Amino acid sequence: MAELTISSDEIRGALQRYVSSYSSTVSREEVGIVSDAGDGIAHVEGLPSTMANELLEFEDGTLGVALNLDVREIGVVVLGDFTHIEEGQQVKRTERVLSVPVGDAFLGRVVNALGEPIDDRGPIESEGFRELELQAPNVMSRQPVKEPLQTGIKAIDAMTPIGRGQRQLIIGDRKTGKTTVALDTIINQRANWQSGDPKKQVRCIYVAIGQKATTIASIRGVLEAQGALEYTTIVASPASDPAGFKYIAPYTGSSIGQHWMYAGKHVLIVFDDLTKQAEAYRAVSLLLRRPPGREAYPGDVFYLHSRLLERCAKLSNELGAGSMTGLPIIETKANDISAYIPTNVISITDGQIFLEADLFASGVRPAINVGTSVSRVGGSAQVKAMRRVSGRLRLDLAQFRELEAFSAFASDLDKASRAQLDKGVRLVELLKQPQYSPYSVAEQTLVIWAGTTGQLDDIPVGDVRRFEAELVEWVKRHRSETFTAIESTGQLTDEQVETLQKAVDEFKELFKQGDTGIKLNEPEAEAMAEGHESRETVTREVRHSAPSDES
Amino acid sequence: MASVNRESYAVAAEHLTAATQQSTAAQLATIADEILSVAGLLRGEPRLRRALTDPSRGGDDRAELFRSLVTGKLGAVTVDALATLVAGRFSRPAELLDATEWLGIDAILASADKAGKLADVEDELFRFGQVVSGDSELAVTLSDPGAAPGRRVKLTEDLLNGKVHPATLQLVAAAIEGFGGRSFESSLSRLVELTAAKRDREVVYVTVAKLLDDEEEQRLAAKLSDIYGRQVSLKVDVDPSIIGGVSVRVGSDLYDGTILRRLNEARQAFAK
Repeated sequence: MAELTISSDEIRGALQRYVSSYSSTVSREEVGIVSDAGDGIAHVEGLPSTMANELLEFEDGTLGVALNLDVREIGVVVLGDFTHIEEGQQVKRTERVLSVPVGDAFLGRVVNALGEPIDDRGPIESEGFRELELQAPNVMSRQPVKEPLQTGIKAIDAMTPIGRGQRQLIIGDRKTGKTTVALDTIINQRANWQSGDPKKQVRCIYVAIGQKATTIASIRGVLEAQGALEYTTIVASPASDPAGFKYIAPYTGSSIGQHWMYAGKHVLIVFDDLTKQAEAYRAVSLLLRRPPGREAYPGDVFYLHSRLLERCAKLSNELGAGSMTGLPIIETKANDISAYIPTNVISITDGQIFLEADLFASGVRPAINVGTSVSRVGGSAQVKAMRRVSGRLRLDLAQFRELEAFSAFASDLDKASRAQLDKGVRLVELLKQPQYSPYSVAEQTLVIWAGTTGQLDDIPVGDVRRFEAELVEWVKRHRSETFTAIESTGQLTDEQVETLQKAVDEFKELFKQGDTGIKLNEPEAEAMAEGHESRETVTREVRHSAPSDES
Repeated sequence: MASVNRESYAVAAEHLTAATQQSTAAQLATIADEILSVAGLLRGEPRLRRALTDPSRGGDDRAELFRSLVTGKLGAVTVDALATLVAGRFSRPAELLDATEWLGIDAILASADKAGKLADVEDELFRFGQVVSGDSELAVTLSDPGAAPGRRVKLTEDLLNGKVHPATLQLVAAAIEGFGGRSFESSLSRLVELTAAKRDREVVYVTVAKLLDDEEEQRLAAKLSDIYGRQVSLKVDVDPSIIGGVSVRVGSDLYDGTILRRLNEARQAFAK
C-alpha cells in the first residue's frame, strides 16, 4: 500500500482556502421572542410567517416544531434538550417544514426521531429529505392487497395471513410476545433479501417508541445475530426522550419507508408501540392547552393514528407497485381490547392478532387468541398452497376452544365431541413455535396439511411436536423434489398431496411413539433372593436441556 | 382582536375622540386614569366581566347595568364612552377587558399628543425599559406577580417622579398591570410600539458596539424608511459584546450584521 503523505503546507493551504471561501451576507430574517418555556413546550411571540409544522431554531441551536399557530403566539414543541430555553431568547425560522433525511444508507442503522444516526457509525448519506406530514396515497394510486408477506409463524400465516400493503395490528397485554411476533416477521424476510430479487425483497423499519434503551439495544442485537440488521432500519425514541420525539418517531419511520415505497420497493414497518405515542401526544397536547377529551386524550387522537396508518399502502402499477406493510403494536391493560386507543386502532387497521396472557402462561406460544384475531384482507393475501390446506383450521380451533370450556364440566362426551377435542388438542400443539425460528412456505404447508387432514390423530399429544419436527426433516430429505416444488411454486397439486400422504404413512412406521420425555438409563432389576436385604436410595435425575421456547 | 370585537372597540374609540375634541391634555389624562381604573375593576371581577358581555341580553341592558354601577363615581365623558363600549358585542369576556385597556392607553396617548410630548414619552418609555433590563433586581421586582400591583406602581413613581412626563408614568403603571396579559417587559415594548404608531412611525431597535454619530444614524433611518415606506424611530442600544457591526430589528424582521454573529457562524461551520 502506498504511504499517504500530506505536507503541512498542503494542509495549511487547504484550510486557508476553506476559511476564505466562507462568506457572510446580511439578509433579512424573521425572529420571534420566547414568551414562556417549560416542560418541553415554548410559546413564541412574533414570527408572523411561520408555517404549520415548521421547524424553528432556538438560540442554542435546539429545534422545535410549531404546532399551535395562535393569534398572538406560536406553541412550539421543543425537540431536544429544553433546559436552556428561557423567556426572552430569540427564535429564528428555518423555513423547513418538519422533514427527515431518507435513503438506502439508512439500512442497518439506528436513528433518532429526526433521522440522525445514534449508533456511532458515522454520518448517513441521505438521498434527500422527505416531509413528515404528507398525505397518504389516494384511492386511484392504490391497488388491492394480494401478495403475501410471510411472517414465518405457522399460526399467523395459516389463520390470519398478512399481505403486502396491509395494516395488521398486534395487540395484547404486556409480556405476551407482541414484539417477538414483529421481530420474527422481520427475521423471516432474510431469505427474500438474500435472493436479491427486488420483487421479493422487503426493507424493514422498526420504530421503538418509549421503550427502555436496553430493550432497543437487545432488539438490535437479536436482529444483528439473526442477520436481519442489514435490511432493517431502527428508529429509536427511548423512554428518556422528550414527548415531542416520541410523538414524531412513527412519522419519521413512515417517511423513511414511504421513500422506498414510492420507488417501487416493498417495505415492512413495525410501530412498537402506538399506545406510548398516544400518551406522548396527550402530554404534548395538554401542555399546549388543547382541550382534553375522553381519557384526557385530545380530540384528534384518532387522526393521529389514522393518518399514520393510512400511509401504509399497496401502490398501483403506474406508481411502481411498491408497498408498505404496517404492523402497529398496541398494549392493552388486563386484556381489555375495548379501551379507547385499542378500539381506535382496531377500527383503522385491516385486522388484528390478539395475544393473550393466559394462553402464553399455559405454554401456547405464540399466544394467539384464534377467536378474536382476524385478517380482513383474508385468503387473497395467502400463498395458494397454504390457502388450500388451512381452510377449516381457524374454525376448528375456535370450536375446540368452546368445546374445551364446556368439557371441563361434563365427564361423559359423545364420540364426535371427543374426536373434535382430540383433534383440537393436537392442532394447538402443532401451532406452537419457538421464537426466532421461522418456517418456510413448504414447511408450513406440510405441517398444517398434516394437522388438518387428521394425520396426527393416532399420535399421542405429547409426541406431536417431535413428530412434526422429524416429519419435516424426513420429507425434506426423502421427498426433496416435492418439497422444493411446493416452495418454489407456492402451489399444492393433487399429486403432491398423494405423495405427501404416502410419505407420512411411510414415516409413521419409522416413528417411535412414546419416546418423548426423560429416559432413565438404568440396568434391568433382578428379583431378590429369599432372605436378602438391601437399602433403597432415591437419586435425583438431572434433566438435560430440552429445546427452550421461552420468549 | 376578532372583527366583531374590533368593531365594538372602534365605535367606542370614535365616540371618545368626538367627545374629547375640546378637552385639554390634563382632562384627557384624567379620563384615561378613570378608564384604566375600570379596567382594573374588570380584571378583578370576572362575574362583572361576564355580565357585561352577556350575549343573551341587549346592548342597552348591559350599558344600563354599567351606568348604574359607576355613575357619580366617574366623569360623564368616561361613563358615556365606556357605556358605548359595553353596549357593543364581544366574543369573550376577556376581550372587553382588552378593549377597555386599549381605550385607556389611547386616551393617554391622545393627552400626550395634545401636549406635543409624544416623541418624549416614547423615548422615556424605551429608556426606562433599558434601565429595567439592565438591573436584574429591579426587573424581578417589577414583574413579580406576588407583589400587589399598587406597590410596584408606587416604586416606579418613586423612581420616575419629576423626571418624566406624567403620561409616561401612566403608561408604566399600565405595563405593570400587564397590558393585554403580557409580562411587564413585553408590555413596555408593546407600549413603545403603540406610541410610535400613534406618531405614524415604526420602531426600529438598533444594537451597536459603540454609539453611532448623527450622520450615520440619519443614513440608517433614511435607508430603513425607504424599505418600510414609513418614518422610523430609531432606538439605539449600545452593547460591546457584539464586538462590531450593527444589528437592526424592525417588528419580526432582523438584519444581523454583527461580528458576533459571523464568529458564531464560523464556529458552527468548523464544528461540522
